[in-house]
Parts: sequence; C-alpha cells; structure tokens
Amino acid sequence: MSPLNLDPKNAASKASWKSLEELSGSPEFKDFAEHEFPAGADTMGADISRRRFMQVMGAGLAFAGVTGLSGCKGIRRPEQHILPYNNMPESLVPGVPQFYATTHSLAGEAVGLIVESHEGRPTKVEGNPAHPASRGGTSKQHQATILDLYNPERLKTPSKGGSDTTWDAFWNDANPVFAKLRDNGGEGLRFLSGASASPSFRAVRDHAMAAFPKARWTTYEALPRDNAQNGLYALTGKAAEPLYHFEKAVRIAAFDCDFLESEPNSLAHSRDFAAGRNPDKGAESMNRLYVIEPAFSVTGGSADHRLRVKASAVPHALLALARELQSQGLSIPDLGVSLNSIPRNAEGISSAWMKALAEDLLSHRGKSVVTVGQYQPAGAHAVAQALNLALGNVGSTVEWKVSPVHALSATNPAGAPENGLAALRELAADLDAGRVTALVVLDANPAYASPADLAFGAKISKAAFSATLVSEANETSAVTTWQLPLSHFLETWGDAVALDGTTSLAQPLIAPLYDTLDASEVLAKLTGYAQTSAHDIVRAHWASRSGLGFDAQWRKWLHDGIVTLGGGADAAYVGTAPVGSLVRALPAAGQGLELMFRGDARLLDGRFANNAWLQELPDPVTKLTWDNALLVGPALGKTLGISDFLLNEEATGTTLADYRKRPMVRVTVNGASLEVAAWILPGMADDAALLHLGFGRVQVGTVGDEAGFNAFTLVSSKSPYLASGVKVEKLDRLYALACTQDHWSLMGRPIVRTGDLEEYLKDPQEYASEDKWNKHPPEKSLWDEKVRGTYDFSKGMQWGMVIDLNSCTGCNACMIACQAENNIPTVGKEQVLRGRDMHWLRLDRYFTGNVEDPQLEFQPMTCQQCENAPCEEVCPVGATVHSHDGLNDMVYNRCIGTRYCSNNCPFKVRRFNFFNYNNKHTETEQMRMNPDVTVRFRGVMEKCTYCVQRVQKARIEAKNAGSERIADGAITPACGQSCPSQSIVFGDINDPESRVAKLKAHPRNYGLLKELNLKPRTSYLARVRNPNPALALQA
Amino acid sequence: MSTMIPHRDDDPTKRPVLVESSDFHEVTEIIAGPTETKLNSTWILLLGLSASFMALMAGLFGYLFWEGTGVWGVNMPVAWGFAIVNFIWWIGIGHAGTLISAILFLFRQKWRTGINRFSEAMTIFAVMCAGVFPAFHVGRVWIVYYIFPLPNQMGAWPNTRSPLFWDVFAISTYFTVSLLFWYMGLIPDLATMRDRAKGVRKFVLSIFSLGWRGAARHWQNYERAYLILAAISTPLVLSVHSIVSFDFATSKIPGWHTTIFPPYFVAGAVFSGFALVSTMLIVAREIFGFKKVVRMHHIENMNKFMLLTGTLVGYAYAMEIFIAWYSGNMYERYAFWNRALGEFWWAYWAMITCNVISPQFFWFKKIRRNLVWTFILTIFINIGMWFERFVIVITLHADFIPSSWGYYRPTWVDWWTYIGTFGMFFTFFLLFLKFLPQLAIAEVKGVMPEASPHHHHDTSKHGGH
Repeated sequence: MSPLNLDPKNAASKASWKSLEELSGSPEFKDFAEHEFPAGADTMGADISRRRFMQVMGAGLAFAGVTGLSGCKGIRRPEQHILPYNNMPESLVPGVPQFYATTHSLAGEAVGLIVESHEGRPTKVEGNPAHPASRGGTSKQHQATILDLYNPERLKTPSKGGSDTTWDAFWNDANPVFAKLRDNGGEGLRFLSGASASPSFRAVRDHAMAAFPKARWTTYEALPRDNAQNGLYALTGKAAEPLYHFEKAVRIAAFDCDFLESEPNSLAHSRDFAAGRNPDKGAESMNRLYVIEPAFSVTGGSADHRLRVKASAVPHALLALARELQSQGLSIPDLGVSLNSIPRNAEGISSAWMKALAEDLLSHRGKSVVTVGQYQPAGAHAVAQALNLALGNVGSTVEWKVSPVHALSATNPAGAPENGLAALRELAADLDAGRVTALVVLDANPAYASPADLAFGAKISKAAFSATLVSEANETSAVTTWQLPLSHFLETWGDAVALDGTTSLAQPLIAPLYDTLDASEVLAKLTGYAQTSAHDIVRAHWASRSGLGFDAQWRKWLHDGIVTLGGGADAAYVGTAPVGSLVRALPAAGQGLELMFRGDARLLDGRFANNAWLQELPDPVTKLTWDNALLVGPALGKTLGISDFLLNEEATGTTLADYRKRPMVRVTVNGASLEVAAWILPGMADDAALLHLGFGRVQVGTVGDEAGFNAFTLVSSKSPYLASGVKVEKLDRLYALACTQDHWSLMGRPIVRTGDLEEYLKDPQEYASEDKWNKHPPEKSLWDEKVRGTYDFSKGMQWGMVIDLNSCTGCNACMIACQAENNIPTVGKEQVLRGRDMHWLRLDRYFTGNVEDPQLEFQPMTCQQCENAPCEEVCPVGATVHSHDGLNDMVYNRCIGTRYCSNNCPFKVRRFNFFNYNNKHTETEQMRMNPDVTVRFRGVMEKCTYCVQRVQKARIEAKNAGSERIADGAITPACGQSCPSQSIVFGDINDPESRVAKLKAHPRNYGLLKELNLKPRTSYLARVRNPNPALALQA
Repeated sequence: MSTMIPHRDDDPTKRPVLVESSDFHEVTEIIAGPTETKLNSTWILLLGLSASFMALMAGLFGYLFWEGTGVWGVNMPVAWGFAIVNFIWWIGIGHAGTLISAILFLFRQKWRTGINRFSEAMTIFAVMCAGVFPAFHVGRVWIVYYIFPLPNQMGAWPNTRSPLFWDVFAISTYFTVSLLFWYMGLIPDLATMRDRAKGVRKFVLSIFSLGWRGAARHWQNYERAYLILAAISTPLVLSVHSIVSFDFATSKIPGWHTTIFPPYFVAGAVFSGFALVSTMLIVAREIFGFKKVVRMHHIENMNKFMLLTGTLVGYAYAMEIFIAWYSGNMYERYAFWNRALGEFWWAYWAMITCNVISPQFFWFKKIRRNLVWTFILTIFINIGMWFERFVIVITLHADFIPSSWGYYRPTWVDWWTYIGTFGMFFTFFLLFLKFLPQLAIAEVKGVMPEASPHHHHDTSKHGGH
C-alpha cells in the first residue's frame, strides 16, 4: 500500500471509518472495498501458503511494512509453507499418525518393528510387541535409522566414478558384463554382502549362484557373528546358535558376553533378564549374574559378581570352570582335552571364585546358563555349550537353534557355518591375483571395515567391473567403478528370520525418496531372477510357500509383521570330533599388554558413523561422544604416565581443570601404528586396552568426518579382535574428548540406592527408606501448597513415572527414542565439549567401590516433574508452569531464555538452545520431525515433558470414546516404549490399580532429594544385587 | 567517625579542614574551570579509546543477538556466567554513590561533599553498565519486554514470585532515583556554570538549571527535596543488592541457598563501590588538580569504609563456611569445600586475598593516608569483588547430582564484552568529567568555614560565583 494520504475533507465527511486507509481514501482501499473479498482470495491456487492467506485476510487492518525485519533471517522464525491434500487419501486423517509393522535386519539379526507415519512420512520406530526379538523394545540403532532415511547425504542416483548418471546407464554397462559371465559360468564373478536373514533374498542369491555356478559369494561382517555357530557346529554338526531364555535362568555365568547389549537378540535378553531380576521372589528365584570380562560392558554393570580377566584368558577361565564343575562331580562331554591338567589358578583367575560359581551352577542345574561372547573363539563357545549341556540347561534355558541365515541355504541344508573373514581373505587373494573380473558389493564396506593387512580397498580396483550398492558414499564405493544408491529399509520390501525361527515381513512406509533400489532388486536384475521388484520378490517367495487364501494371509502377515509359517529347527548334540581340535586350538593366554578391538556400542562396525544421533549418544560406559579412545585401566594409565588425567580423586570424583583434554598416545601393533587419544576407564582387566572400531571413517558424510580414530588400521586378519605385543607411548599432545559426564563418583549421596538381596529381604521397608539413606528434617512448605497451586493434585488423573534401577541395563536406547520423538537436535562435538548436549533424558553412570575393580550404577535422569517445581518459582515470565494433571510444562512461546529455571533445577535436566540448532535442516531432514512436537527456536529452554503429546493424544482418544479416564498403559512415553527391559513405567498415580501407583507403593520406591520438598513425580526403584554369600568376603 | 576529628559544628576552629581553601571563588574555579576550557587532546584520545571499547561492546552484543547466547561460555550446569557476574559487580560499584549521597547525607557526614557528585555519577554509569547484561543475557533478547507487566490480550503476566522480576523493579527504581538525586544536586552548580557561560553553552545550561537564581526560596525547596530524595534513596542502598542477592538466596542450589546473602551482598557492594570511587578519585584529583577539595581526609574516610565493609564481607565468608559445616547438609558442605579446593579454587583464593586480606592493611594509618597504597589496594578490592561474584555464580557447576556437574570457561566474547562495558563506563564518565561539575560546588562551599554564619567574612576575597 502506498503511504497514507490523509485528506481532512474526506475525513470530515466520514462519520466512521474502519481503517486509516479508508479514512485516507487511498485508491488501494477503494479497490479493496469494491471487492468483497480481499485480492487473491478468489484466485487462491494450490500453491498459496497459509502465511500468504493470513496476510491477505489481514490486509484490511494491517499497516504494510511494519510486520518485521525481513532481512533478519537469522533471528526470525523460519517461514514455511504447508500444503493441503488435493485428494484426501482414504483412511488418513491429517494429524493422526498411522502405524505399520515392518522388520529391520542389522548384520543378519532381524527385529520386528512398528513404525509411526505422519501423512506418509515415517517419523518414529517402535518395537513390535509380537516379534520375539523385540517384544516392544528397540535398540538405539533401530531408533536412529529414521535419521538415516532422511539423511541428505544419501546417494540419490547411480554414479560412475563420482559423476551422477542413471540406472539405465548402469544396466547398459553391466548387462554385457553379466552376459559374458553367464557364458563362462560366472568365472571371475564375486559377490560380497553383509550377513542377511532374509529368505527371499537368499532365494535370489541361490538363483544367482545357480545361474553363475563358478561365481563366489562372500558374506562378511566386520564384527564377528560366526564363532557361536562354529562352536555349536562342533557339538551338533549344524550351524546352530544358542537361543537363551534368561527368564528361566536363576544363575548366569557370562564369559566376555555382553548379552544385554551387543550380542544378538539382546532386546529379548534384556526383557528376560529383567523378568528374572525380581528381588521379591527371594534369593533362590532372583537371578544371579556372574560376569567374567576384560572391559566394562553394560552386562558387566548389571553383574552381581564381576571378575576382570583379560580377553585371551577368558577361554581358560571357562576351562577352569569346567574343571571345577567336573571335580565337583559333573559329567562333562568330551572336550578333547584333559580338564585335570588345567591349572586352577591360572591367569589370575581366583579359584575360590570359580569354585563358588561352580557350586552355584551345580545346585541350579537346568536353571542356569553359561554364555560366551562373540569375540571369543569358537572353541570357547563349544566349551560353554558343552557345559550348558552337562548342566541340563539345553532345552530349558538354552535352545540350540539352527541359524536362520544358514538354514536358508538350499544348496547346503545342514549349513556348515561360514567363516566370513576366511572368505574375505580368499576374495582379497583372488582380487590380488586378477582372478576377479566383476565384483558386486551389496551394502557392505569391506574397504574400511576389514583388517588392514588385507588392504582390501586397494585391491578392489583390480576387478575390471565393480559396483557398490550402498546408501551413502563410503570407502568401498569410492574405489568401485559404480556407486549405486541403496533403498532404506523403510522404502522397500523384505523379510527376515529371527534367531528363534520367527519370520517377519518388511514393508515400505514411504516410496523411495531418491532413485534407489534394494539389494534384492539389483541382484535380481543382474542375474535374471523371475521378479525384479522387491515387492514381487518377497510376495512371490511367500506365495510359493503358502497355499490357498494367500492374499488374506499376506495381508494379515503385513498387518502383524509376523509370518505364521513354521519356526526354526533345533540342533542336537552329536559330539563331533572337531570339538577337541577347536578346544585345543584355543590360543594360550597372552603375556603382557593386549589390545582388544571391538565394535562400538553405537556405530557398530562404522556403518552408523554418519548418524548424528548415534555419534552424539554417549557410550554407555565411557560417556564419550563423537570419538573413540584407547581405553585403559587406572593402573595401566599410571604406567603409561597418563594417570594425571584420571577422574580419580577418590574423595571428590573431581579432576584437573583442563580435564576435557586427554593425552594422545601412539599405539603400535601388528606392524602398524595409530595415534589415538587415551581414556582411563575403571574396571578394565590388568594389562588390557580396548579400542572401539567404527570411528575414523575416511569416506563418510559430514557427520562422521573427523570423528574418532580408525582402529581398523591396527587390525590384523590373523587375530582380528585381539592383539598382543602392543606398544603404547605417550605423545606430547593433547586431544579434546567430549564426555557428557565428567564426574563418576556418587560422592556418598543417596541418589542411587543399592544394596544386597539379603539386606532387602531382612527389612524391605527400610531398604530404600529416607531414614536409612537420607535422614533429614520433615519437609515443610513456607506456603500452603493447596492455596498456592491452582490445581488439586489429589484429584483427577495425575501422571507419574517409576524407573526400576534393578532392571535398567544402561543401554541408552531410551535416549535416542526421546531424541526421535521430541525433535531434539544434535549439537556437535564442540558444543558437547562446552557442555551443551541437548538430550532431555540422560543415562547417569557412576562407579562405586574400588577404582580398579568398581561396580557400575546406571540411573536414567530426566525432568522429575516436581510438584513443587523450583524451576517454576524462578521463571520471571511464567514460561514454565504446572498443568492440572501434574506436569511441569514448558511454554516455548513465552520463554525469553533467562536460564534461571535451569540454575534452580536440582537435577540439571533442562536444556537450552544456545544456538538455532534447527535452522539448517534441508527439506528432507525436516520430514523426519515429529509434527506433534514443537521444533524449538534459538534462545528457549526445553526439557522432558513426559511426552505430553502422547498424553494429550490419549486424552483426546479417551474423550472421543466418551470416557474421562484414560486406561492404564494407554500412555507410554517414548523412553518407556523403547526400553528393552521395560524399566520405565508411566501412569496415573491417583489410580491405586495402575502399575505406576503399585510400584510407587513398593518398598524399593524412593524419590530423589526428598529433603528439598520437591515432590518429584518420577521415582526410582532401588537396585538390589544378589551376591553369592560364599563370595561375600571377596566382593 | 574518627577520634582525630572532633565534631563541633558550631565551633569552626575545631572542624576538620575539608577544603583547603578559604575562598569560594577559588572553589568555583577549581571545579567549574575544567568544564570551560577547550577540549584537550588527552581527553579526546581517552574518549576515543573508551568509545571504541563501547562500540566493541555494542558490536559484541549485536553478534550475540545475531548468533545466540552460545557465543558466550555459558553451558548447562553453569547457565549464568560472565553476564551475571558482571551485572552484579557493576551494580555493586554503584552502591557507593547512593550510600555517600543518601546515608552519609542523613548522617550529616560533611566530608561526603568532596566526593558525592563523583560517586553519584559513577553510580549512574555503573548501573547502566550493569543493566545491559540482564537485558542481553536472555536467550531471546527481542522479547525481553515480556518481563514487564504489560497488559496483553493473552492475559500472560510476569511471575511475581521470581526474583528476576523483583530485580527489574529494584534496578529500575534504583536507577531512576539515583538519576533524579544526581540531577537534583546538579541544579545549583549548573546555574553557577550558566552564570559563567556564554552562547550555546549558556543556553543549554540555562535549560538544565531550571531557572535557578540561588534565591533563599530556591535553597529552601532544594534542601527539602534533597532531604526527601535522600530518604527515598536510603532504603534503596539496602534493598537493591538485597534483591539482587535474592536471585541466589531464594534458589535451591547449595552455596546459593543462604540467608546471609542480603547483608553480605550489601556490604560487598558498598565495599566495591568505595573501592572504585577511590580508584577513580585518586586519578581524577591528580589530573584535574582539585586536591584542595578532595583531601587526604576524604581518602582516609573511604579507606575506613573499605576496612569496615571488607571485614564484614570476610565475616560473611567465614560464616558461610561455618554454617555449611554446622548445618550438616552434605550438599552445602561440599559446595563450600568445592569453592575453596575444587576446580575453581583459584577464584576463591583470589577473592579471599583481595577482599579479606587486602583491606586489613587499612588498619594502619600510614597506609590509609598513602595514595599509592590506597590505589593498589582499591584495585585489588575491585578484582576481588569481581571474583566474589564469579565464585558465587560458578557454584552452579557442582550442585546436587554429580553426573550433571560441569565446568565453565568464558569465551573471547565474554571477555571483550566485559572489557567493552568499561568503555561504556569511561565514555560516560569522561563526558561527565568534561561537561559537568565533578564536585558539588555548592555543597563544598557549604562545608567551608566561610559558610558558617559565625565565620567572619574576609570581604575582600568574597567572590561568590
């Protein structure tokens, strides 16, 4: 509009006027007044934005030009356009999410999922309660896959040598090559993939191998998955894997076996382990966990007894146990070695400890479990399973299931287990010798994730034709001629078999965002399979195995996510000869310093290195983000001269001022050396160091770039997970490591309350009581709380939460679930170093006891939703206030960012947007946002809301159903939903029948900082350990 | 005050010699003179330097506004950092002015006349320097007005329980009253200068001197108004820093949650205020040559104030530690243990050295009356009081739950913004020194022996204006 031209004559003639424009009689206004509706309203096309609409509607009253500083893009709220549906999809109500069952396979391990979709955009992954490997829980990686889907750095089209082209160009290039190969029977054709548990993919693969009989298929996983199979193969003659039922086990001995986190089927294990962890059942029925391990795992943190043993000595500890069991009268299957010759006290393994363990296992035959981890050699697995057999556990707490991956093989039904590393070595030799003419890599990254001595990446170029199908450019795709874009699992069809034989289907939630294909599709097209789309491949595969009424069955399978066709097969003990050779092949326990290489808890073998959620997720034990480090124990740290940097003043848990900086060391092993930051981790075995794999990627997106140190450069194919003869020298440089928790000591504060079962059973009421832990004067308010608050918390539904510290394993899955649900940004290493990580929910980890051999305590910590919330009292603008149902709400629009609330929060769970962390998202990244949760702008405080959006959704649903009361269990916050061990329970504390109210009445229940009279709505169930009285003195 | 100086107003021979001159005209010349000379190049240079730093401050606030609070070193356990430290420090600086003008006035401490104008001006500029920090430290500066009780269609109102809300009123009241008080006192002097001025200067001074003719009626109204303003200001001396201390004292945080804070903050504020007034005065009286008006007696009296308040502050420190121990509260105990021996031990001991130990030198008369010593010790006190606020705010880094403990490290923006506020302070201060009477001409004359009705006037020298 033009500047106002006030005409006094005109003004005098008007008795009333509705705007200055009218008063001024401007031509625009006349024009405006002539049209009953504002300009543009009648011609409003599909591309008109809501903002434009509001501008048009408001034109009559708006003074143009005063609406804002259009140049200040950095400060203003982002302007965005929303579009309505032109044609409304059936059964879709905008704003109401839809849920679909699907399946995710990670290194051959299938987990059924339910994925939330908003208007066609998958936004959140949950576990499928019907799937045995999930039971509703998910891992951090599952949660984080959403971020990968919308990663703008995904490959979008096929490219050759780095220049983008089309699939047609690829087929034109590949088809003549494959035609020639078909003629020579596939001589020189090599496929390489990661482990897969997909029956339909296996069918395509089998077809390919039949069509190209001389071709070879290499299945390689950088993190070992075949030792258990090889161990059981020696006992059963089949590539079987143990399937544990921890809920039935009351005595568990885990030998370097992180069954609660990094081992296959860990979600089910967590659930089962938690089920057996109920102290109210008494000493005989509550499980007791013995852990023998070289470095702290979360399983070690859950242990009742933990023995630090270096990795190379673990098999010998197992043999020592076998000997002890035998000497106590157990008949052990022939292991090919004379158990009596095994020294009782070898490798610092306490014979008293082993004796007590053996006695405990013996007195719980059929109700115990002996497990060995995947990093231990096959011989150790054979021994452990033989002990399970001897203890009568097989069939009750352990089942030997024929491995789904190998049972699928049509050509090898018995399925001799594969040895991935041997196959890769062979492939490397073939490449080197020029025997490979065509190499197809399907979703694997051997150029990075393989032992350095194979120099695999450098050899790939020796193949005349090579292609990598991968979602983001990686080290392998960089050296193959073709880079092919892979579909995300949420974009394609598939299927997978779980360890127990349950098959589940994967269905897409969204059409491929880019011009991508699934591995089965590429393979099918290259090798001439009957179907070439993933949907057809999967459907045809199952149609051929079903009978009449397949359509209805297919729909039901898709709906449930579970295929209801036969389970997996069991394997039985046959006692084959290889047992002895495997056991005899166990290497002698190493002398001197040994270095372990293990998959990172978050990035695994590096495949998630470009996932910002996982990079910024603290390691469960070290709490490091964005980096790996050489982990050594305090004693070794002292020897290496880096103990100054130990967070180790016993009295304080405090450290030197420059504690974010750590010394660099040079690690020399296997003829290679690596400069890496060192970190002191209590509880490591003596003379042992640990370096996590998966960091230091070379060809990776912006997220993973320069994150950590590439440990694969030290790995030798001879002994990939353990190296001896290690030299570590301290360098004269420091390196900043971003740790989210600087202080490990509880400082004697009654924050985590733990004790022994005996103590608990003696007086459950006293066990976690304030009287015992936190004597303080009675709480008294200065004001009448009832008058003070607008709401009466004794009425209506009042939300509360109980977190069971006894079953929480500290796995961190809840943190990512929270991040995904609540649109929590990642901030990057620099900001984490500044102490500005944004996680609403954090997993506090404390070490207690002796620094060399401590115990580990975990405590999920998030907004405690105090009824007398200190944050609310101090906010000058009332941006954080209480709701009628007892939630401490944040009003983002009102928040001016004084941060006073955070200062006054005794738990320090509030998080502040120091920068505009959300303004750089591409459109694709914006798609992953949960539309039910506000994306916070710079300068506002945020924190856990108890997933208020879920509370409100349940409330609306209940109201629509004509009820005022929401059923117990209808609301689960994201953290509780993802929790594999179901440690987080949420509900109405005013309903005495609700689970949460019952838990709050439990004697183990306690609230934090009660003396401050905060009345937190979140409380904890005290942890109870179940130590063996025979070992009480040692513990 | 001092045993050295007998107090008998009616006996001019026994009154302390507050002004080393027996000539009203000389006093006028000393004080009004510098405002009438041409701008000297040193002054221009200093103003240019100060203004550059002020511009730097403005630029850094602009940067903060553009990028976000993250350009500072604040983080999640330590959500308040330099901004609040500097804010309290500057507010504290301002306290000497009000105390000198109001309380000492009511107590008829005539020696105050030598320093009151000066320190009142410092109060105002210090409060301005203080005020920019809370305004800019919020995450969303552009809606900082939410903190004011502005009626709005949403019915959203500030939270009257929040000490930050009290702060807003405490500081704005303080600033307003201080400004009025200052201006009130300036009127007779502006008139004096008006009478000596010509041209534009005369015109401007005429406006601001509000038609002052020095009539008895004027003087009567003036004295009455001055008394009323002094009475209004007096509680402010106590209330402002008490309320600022409530930001901490009403919180739950160990090391903050303590009832000793209000008196301890006030004592500390007066302590630091006197220190900075003293620092500046020592320099100004050298440069502008009003040693006859601001005498060693004034410096010594201020040093006595510093000795008193410094010892009070030291007592408060000791009492905090004692109560933390005596309470048996593990969090309180640790908070104080951690202050002294934890990661920020250096700040704590800097504070103790500067605030508790250094004023003890003022027990010695020789030191009290030694300008070099005084200057050095006041600098120490200024540094110490800054560290006191730093130590208090940084207590945040380790409160209840050890897992949340962190560290604080200021960024370059923090440092330069703080330094920039000195630019702002000195810019205004230099303008004040040049264009306004640095000392209260009328009041100084009032304490001269000649002003006593019993004084026999030497008519030959009676110069008046």
